Amino acid sequence: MRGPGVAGAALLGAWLSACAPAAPAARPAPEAPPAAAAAEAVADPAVTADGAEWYRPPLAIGASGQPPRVPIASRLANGVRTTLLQRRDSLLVAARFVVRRQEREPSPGAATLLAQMLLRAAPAKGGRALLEELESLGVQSSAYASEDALHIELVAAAPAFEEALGKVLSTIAEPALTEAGLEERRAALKRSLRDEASPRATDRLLDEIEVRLYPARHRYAEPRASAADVDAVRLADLSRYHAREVTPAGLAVCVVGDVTSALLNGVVDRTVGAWKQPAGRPARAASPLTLAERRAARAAKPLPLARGVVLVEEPADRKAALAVVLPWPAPGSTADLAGERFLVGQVDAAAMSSLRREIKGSWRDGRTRFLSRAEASLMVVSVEVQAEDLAPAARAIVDAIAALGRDGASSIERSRIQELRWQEGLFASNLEAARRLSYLDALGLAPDYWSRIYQTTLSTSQAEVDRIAAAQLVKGEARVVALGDVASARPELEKLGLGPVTLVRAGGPAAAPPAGKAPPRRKGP
Amino acid sequence: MRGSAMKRPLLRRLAGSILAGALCWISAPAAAEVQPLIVHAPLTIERVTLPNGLIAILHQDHRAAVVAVQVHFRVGSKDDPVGRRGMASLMRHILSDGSTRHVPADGRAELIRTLGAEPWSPAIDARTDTTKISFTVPAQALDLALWLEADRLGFAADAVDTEAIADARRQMEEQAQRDADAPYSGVQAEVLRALFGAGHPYVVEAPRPGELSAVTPVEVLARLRAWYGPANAVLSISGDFSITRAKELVARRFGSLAGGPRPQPTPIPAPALQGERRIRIEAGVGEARAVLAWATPPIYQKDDALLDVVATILRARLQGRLGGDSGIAGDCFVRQMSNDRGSRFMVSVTLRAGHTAAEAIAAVDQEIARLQTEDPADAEVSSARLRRLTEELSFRDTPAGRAERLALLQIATGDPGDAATYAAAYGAATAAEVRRVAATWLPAGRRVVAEVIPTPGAPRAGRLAGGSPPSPAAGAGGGS
Repeated sequence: MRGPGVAGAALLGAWLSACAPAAPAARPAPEAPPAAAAAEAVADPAVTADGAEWYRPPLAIGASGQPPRVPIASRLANGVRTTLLQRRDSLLVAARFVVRRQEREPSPGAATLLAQMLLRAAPAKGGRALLEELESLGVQSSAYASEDALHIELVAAAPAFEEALGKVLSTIAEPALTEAGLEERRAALKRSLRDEASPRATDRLLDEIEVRLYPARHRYAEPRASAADVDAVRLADLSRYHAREVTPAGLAVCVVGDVTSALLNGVVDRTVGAWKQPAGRPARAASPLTLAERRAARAAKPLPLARGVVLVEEPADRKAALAVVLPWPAPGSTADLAGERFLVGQVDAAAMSSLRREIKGSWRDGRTRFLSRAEASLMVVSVEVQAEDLAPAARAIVDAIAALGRDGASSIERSRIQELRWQEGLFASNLEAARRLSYLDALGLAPDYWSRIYQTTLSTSQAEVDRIAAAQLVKGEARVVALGDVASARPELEKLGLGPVTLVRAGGPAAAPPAGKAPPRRKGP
Repeated sequence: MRGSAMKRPLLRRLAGSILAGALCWISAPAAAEVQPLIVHAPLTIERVTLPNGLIAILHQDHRAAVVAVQVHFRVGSKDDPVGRRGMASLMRHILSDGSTRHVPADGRAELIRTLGAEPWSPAIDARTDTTKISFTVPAQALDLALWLEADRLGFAADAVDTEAIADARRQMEEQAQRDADAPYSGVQAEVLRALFGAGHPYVVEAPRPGELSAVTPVEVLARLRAWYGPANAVLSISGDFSITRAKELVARRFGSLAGGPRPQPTPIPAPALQGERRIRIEAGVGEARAVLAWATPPIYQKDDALLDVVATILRARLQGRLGGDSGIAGDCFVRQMSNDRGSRFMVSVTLRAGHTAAEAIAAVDQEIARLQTEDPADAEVSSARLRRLTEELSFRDTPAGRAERLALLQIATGDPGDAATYAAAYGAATAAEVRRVAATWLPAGRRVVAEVIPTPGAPRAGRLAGGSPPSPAAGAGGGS
């Protein structure tokens, strides 16, 4: 086994005990094959005889000791960043272009429209539309906007990459945005909005959480665009938005494949090296290249969240869903990253166990996750329940979280193995590696994040995880966002002791602004 | 083509190499400055055949500490016995339970989770030609993955009883119900029936009511032993491991499994269709759809690769002509759908509201006639070649994709080393070749043309209309 071994015996014991209830009678002593099987083998040569080895699963425990590789990070004089993971034996090049967002979009849907129009625009200096150029090079491409960045993705055969790279960069920097292009994308976006409506309550709930909790004018509180919102976007707004948001200091190119640093940086420099940060828009502080820089640069000051319980009204015949939300420091703003990751699994196990004990009715889709943004994170435990179970489920989850914070986490060794192995697989394909690197940039994290987190994951102690749990898993900090029938849910939610219940309509404004904030804009088509 | 493109070798195998791969294309992008180019992408593998007949393919890739482990069986829906439609699908469910002798019923998932393999979990997929078990695990768990799969391969019979069969049948019925509710989901079966003839192995049909309820444990056990044993399987491993160690582990875990003869391949009759056959399908959908289908050569033959290039060019032309915001079509699908023993070239155009399938059929006819009579521009061919290559490289980008490609090559050609040269078929695509294969394989007089007509009250999946028009050309033999 390469790398550090971990508590193999403990895990073997865990497996055996997990399996034990189902099989004690069937599992013979490991030293001798079962008589029945041996007899069967004699009786029928087509049947395999199972010797003792079959009863000893090879539980090789431990991490491989191979953290995700550290990419080569560079920065041009004008602030454009490049991140390269070179793989000489790979003919496929995957690339992600990240344009960090800093502002709220002029109207909902504008960031998505801009990302998609960049992929289809011609360069202002003339030439064919980018998408046509890419298709002629056999390149697969896509574009979308997240809360923190616009993303353009390319997958190219190595020989086509250099030309594709230059074309994308020159178009991103100076696109010819046209009315025809806007109309075409507007229609496409409206079609996709029509097709996207999710029947799952937990999906609808996730759309609501950030809108309802973050400060109303913050970009994280942007509601999902409606068809009317998309219709309201004007080309002039998009052009101004492009001029403000798409700047050299906001752009990063993340590449994985058989590409040299000299080629990548050469093309970037030739194409956008002379691109200047717009007047009146000073470049932001240089992006950190290490985790330590990242921590130093970013204050661990979470965005203020609305308090109490938000109940999003849904018809009684629809499934109800619930999220218990804890505010969390922004990614990279504390030294506790690895420990924080351990806690997701711990909280999930505790919350689901508590739901199983406390909720009599059916529930499903229980899950714990971080909603990580560049400026803040939320830990979210969500579940789909019957409307009458919203309050009991909220109480069960909040109590489980509080108990973890008070009593400390259970053993982290199993979580450590799962976490390390998950991290080891992050860069298994070029495309996935490029995506991971681009997410780091969008979150403002250093390119060496994963290799450092890997080392921290190895060394994090139980005491550190307990300390983070005590600091973060605090009942008084929990918020609840629920989706369901008001008549069934409201009275019980008011008894939770988590603050006042604010009633809002799905896709509509808050009836009363949460925590004194302005009502968020309408959400959803 | 399954998964992505990969073709019959046009270059000779590299001398002295056990199995090596070379992607080769002659010209790259349309841009004039890109010079002729040859790129080598070695897929160096080792192949081991155990005495019980199991073939293991080992491919190292050290990008990340993960390993894809797959078992492919040479059996799929084409091998369903007469009167047992859906048998391959039922066997998929049986296999998914695995053995219960060495691992408790719910122990496999727990074991994998305990070892940190989550979120990876085995997926089992029954297709037309093959059945695949696939999962990707941490490199350190390779031995465990092999142990689990050997256990399944050797002892899946343990899990077979009437309850397991009933459970599998119930899952199939639920899936059939979901399929029946999906728009257009019945169209393909009608088109394939018309193309290949009812009852043809390549016509995938849902079981008739009661058909699988007669299946007994004895029948399932016989099926397992005959078709799902080591002699009919290919084990494909790609990822971060040592070849020496992996060979040891494969021999240790799979070597003791009982072998047996490899089953005789199911005979695949030639497509029955001799003329043009037109059908009308009524469906409770909002948009009309036109579907055209031709019978084409099997996977990995030269013309199969060229038809991939034709499909790429035709799709781009149809998208340009019919798509876009002002076009009449919302979606144009053009694909050479390849199988081991005979393929089909499919065109499917979904119309926007207010437009009819006939409009799309006329446009498709014109574009195909153009391809048959005029050489496409070099830039068009070159773009299509690059696009196909990029798709293939994307497919191979993950350990699972590489393991699958190697296994499928082994099954279809007997030599996974041919991976080296398949993409060269795209490199060989010239404008004249594109014109030739379009003329040879896409004749107007031997095809199926289906019109899907939005019909209130009809099933969303679609149903054959009683008044399907007579074919203008010679009638189809053996169609539905």
